[in-house]
Amino acid sequence: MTFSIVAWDGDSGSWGVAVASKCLAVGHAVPWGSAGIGAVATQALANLAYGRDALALFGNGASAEEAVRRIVEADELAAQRQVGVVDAGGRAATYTGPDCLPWAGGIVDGEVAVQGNILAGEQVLTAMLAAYREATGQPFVSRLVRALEDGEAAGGDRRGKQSACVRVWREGAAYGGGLDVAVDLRVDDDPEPVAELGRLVELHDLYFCRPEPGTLLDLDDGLRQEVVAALTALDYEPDREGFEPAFERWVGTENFEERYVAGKIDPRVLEHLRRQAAAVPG
Amino acid sequence: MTYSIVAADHEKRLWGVAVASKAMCVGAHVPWGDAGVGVLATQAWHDLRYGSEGLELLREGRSAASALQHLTHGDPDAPNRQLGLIDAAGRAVSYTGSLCLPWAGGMSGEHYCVQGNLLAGAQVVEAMAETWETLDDLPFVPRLARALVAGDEAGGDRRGRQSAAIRVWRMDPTSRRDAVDTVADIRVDDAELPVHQLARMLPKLWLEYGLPDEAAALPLTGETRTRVATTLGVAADADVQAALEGRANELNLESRLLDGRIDPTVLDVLESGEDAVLERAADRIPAGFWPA
Repeated sequence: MTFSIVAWDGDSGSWGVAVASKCLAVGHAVPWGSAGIGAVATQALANLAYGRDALALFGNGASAEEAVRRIVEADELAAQRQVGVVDAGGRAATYTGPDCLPWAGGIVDGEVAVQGNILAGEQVLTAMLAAYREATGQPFVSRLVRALEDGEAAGGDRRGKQSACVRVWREGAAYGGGLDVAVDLRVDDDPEPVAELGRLVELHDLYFCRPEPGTLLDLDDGLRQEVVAALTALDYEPDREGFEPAFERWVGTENFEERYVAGKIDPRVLEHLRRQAAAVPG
Repeated sequence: MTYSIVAADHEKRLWGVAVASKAMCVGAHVPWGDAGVGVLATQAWHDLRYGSEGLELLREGRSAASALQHLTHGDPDAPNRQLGLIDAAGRAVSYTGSLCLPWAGGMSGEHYCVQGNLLAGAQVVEAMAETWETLDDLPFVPRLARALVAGDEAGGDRRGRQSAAIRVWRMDPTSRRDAVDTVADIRVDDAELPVHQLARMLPKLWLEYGLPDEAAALPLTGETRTRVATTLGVAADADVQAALEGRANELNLESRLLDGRIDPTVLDVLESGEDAVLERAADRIPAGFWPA
């Protein structure tokens, strides 16, 4: 039914889960986590208490293996469950009940657990692990999604595709700083959910991250003329209301505040503006 | 930036939020809730802490009005915030800070409130309220979706469209250890027509996450057993129940399984195929959608 990766990223101090499945809205049930505590993917005949209970055990200092052993022992339907975890210290564990539909299994490699059921075969999991390792150096969220992409390319869920999700927890990471959810992106019902999730990760970065200072372009005369033309095509009035006010208004409408620097333009924002203006009919 | 409806169905004991916005993944930020506690939508210049702290205040036994007062009192940014909440008793309050960007406002009725900012106009929240009040014969989740569609069609967010979400909680905590109290949780994080895309998911949500119709369930005996065995490709004297469970797992219909009986919708999927059943449900989600 589902394949997932659960991992701890020591470089950024983050815990994360990425998951894909042939079912509606896999993201509402499978991924659980908390910064400084751990992360869980509960799947197959998903027991949602596994998420809550494993995090509670981690909070009390339990290791990944110990937490999995305890939640499985306490569950009479454990034979049909599958769960992967990383604990507060980044240790991973995975469990696949003997009655999970084939192919089903899991692999632990250091601070990473991959697991799945109703899969095309074990190659889905080895492909996921290899992709995660190869993407070392990329942002954590991108590495998680790269694992899903290669898992899918290796056959994925043998029944097909429908939904995918990635969630990352890091202390104080949420918008506004108060909570620990760094990324929470979902594709609930799509013919290409993993590719769509990759697109959302790019978009999320575009909206919520600051631009690389070295890449900012000076709004010289030529570029400024192009931006004026694009804004005008989008029904803004830079000639009447002034260039900066019109541009700022567009930036606000498109939620690019994080990437706004007066007198300059982020090339990724420019690309978005160009695409938007080109899509205006007539 | 955002419009939402926060509502409660006292009879079915379901509390929920439907929300749409010209901002990415609104469903990850705006709706908050918990069984036995209440639900809320925090928006405009939203502060996620309004979500966790709002629920904490309700958990302490405060009314919706008291929780709201507590949250906004002493918050220097309160004029930029917007909030709708309903406590476990079903009391609804809507708050719009004086500096929320126009059009901004909200209204509350019996067991519901609607609010929004940066909207096309007051007609957006009015259309949501009117639709909610009028469609009181619809199951709770489709009724929320229809209210959101009405807001979208009345002009919605004046900057455009991007994302939408519905989350629904049962207000009486479940006794089932393996379940959570969220009975519906669907999102469209970035799309051209997010509200309509969300509404199109409802038949699938009903089919995959709905409960079996216990009253209409058929015993797995006699002719029913033969029909089920035929569609599953097993002999009628084989272990039909086990074969059915295996197939239901593959079809994501395991929440509709019964012991020794079959949910009529499961039989329908086996015989007519998922697409045909979904198409029929698209016209009208069958009653009994998450019975309380």
